[in-house]
Order: sequence, then structure tokens, then C-alpha cells
Amino acid sequence: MKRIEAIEEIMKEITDEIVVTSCGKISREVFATKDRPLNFYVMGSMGSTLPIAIGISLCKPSKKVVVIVGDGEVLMSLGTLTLLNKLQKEQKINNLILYILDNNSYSSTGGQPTVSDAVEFRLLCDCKVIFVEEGNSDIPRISLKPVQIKERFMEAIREERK
Amino acid sequence: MNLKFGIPDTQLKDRIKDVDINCTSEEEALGICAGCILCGEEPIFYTQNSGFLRCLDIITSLFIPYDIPFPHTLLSIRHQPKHHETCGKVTKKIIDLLGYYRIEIIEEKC
Repeated sequence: MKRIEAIEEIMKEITDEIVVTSCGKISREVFATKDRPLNFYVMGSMGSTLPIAIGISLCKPSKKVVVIVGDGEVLMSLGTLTLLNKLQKEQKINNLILYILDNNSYSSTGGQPTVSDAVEFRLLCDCKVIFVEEGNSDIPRISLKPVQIKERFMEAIREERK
Repeated sequence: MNLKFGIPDTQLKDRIKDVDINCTSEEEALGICAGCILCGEEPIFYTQNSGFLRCLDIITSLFIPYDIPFPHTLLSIRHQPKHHETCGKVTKKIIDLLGYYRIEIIEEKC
């Protein structure tokens, strides 16, 4: 399965959930598949996608938070999987669904190998691992500036409160 | 709701007894703070200066380009023993470069 096909499968089910996606081509493929204000694209700061999503999950316990990251991204903050596991076990987070799209490579930078074949992510926390092919689809860059992504996301969150 | 996140530090230990989540790294704690701020909350971030320097990527690649307000921060600056010396010297200069003036600093005597 190609990564964008996995993303299409995930995004097909999305209605009113918050979606947080990792840097590189994953955010671009989510943007191309189903862009919406409740998508927060983390375009840099590799390794920070899951922490950001945990913060959102803690503050919005009644909303489902879907997180889509690559293996390279999550390897950079592996400790956060253990924190998530603790928060899940203590029932402090019940609303975060973590998808790890694992192609054992840094696809966005040319397919250099990662060490994801040496770890079983599902032993570290409750998450869904989808093994996908290495490689990228031919999709444009995200046409929004970071500030626009933030402003419309925060506006959508404020609307939720009303 | 002022949720508090961070990593312990000797100088901060009396101030951080009520931390909500003991994180696995400072940049993780700051990332969680960013998520809270995106939801309109005002989290508090505890860190030692060496951990603050671990956060330079998330500050320069997320907080500044996305114009996310920096959380209320309690920062401990260490100068001793020897392994703290260099980090102690550069921390305030880096905070000035970033333009973050609202960080509450507890500094060890040189």
C-alpha cells in the first residue's frame, strides 16, 4: 500500500475530529486528500507532532484527536510514546488515536533507512501501525502559511465551544 | 485551567510540586504546551536552562513561524558545577535573540 492510500483510508472516516499531522510529505498528502480547518499541519519541528496532539487531547477531552505520523518522526521522540502509554493506562487520555505510517525510511528526504525495523511501536503504547511502501506521491506543497494554519485551527476550536 | 508541564530541577523543586505531567523531555513538555495554547489555554512550562536549549528547534520551527505565544515559563539557570558553566553563560543571550522577555528566571550565583 502506498502511504497516500493509507492516508485516504484514514481521512475518509474523518467528520468532526481534530487531525494533527507530522512534518514532511505526510502533511502534504493529508492536505491534498482532505484539507479542513481542524487539520493542524506540523510543517517543521520534527518529533513534536505527538506532544502537540497530547496537549490538544488533554484540553479537548470530548473531541477525538487523530494523529498521523511517520516512523522517522516518532523515532525522534520515542519517549513520548511511553508518556502516552502512561496517560492511556491512567485514563487521562482516551480520545487520541495514533496512526504510525511505517515505511522504514525517511521518505521526504530521499528514502534513507530508519531503524524502525528494530522496534515494535505497539508494545510501547496503544497505536495503530500501518506498513506502507517507501516513496512519495506527486503532490504540491501546502499552500497555507504556518500562521494561517494556526489561525483557522484556533478559530475552528473556538467555534466548537459555541 | 493552568496545566503545568516540565522536567524537574534542583532549583525549581519547591515550585514544581504541583506539576500535572512529568514529561520525558523539555521539548516534549513544550510541545504539549503548544497543543494547550492552540486550544486557548494558558499552560505553564518548567525547565532548567540545559533543557531549554533542547527546545531551540520547536521554538524556531513551530512557535515563531506559527506565531504561537510562548507559555508562561519558569526557567532555572545553573552555573555550577563545571558542566553547567557554558550553558549558563549563553542562555540569557539566546533568550534575548529569540525575543522572549517574559520568562521568569531563577538564576544560580556564579
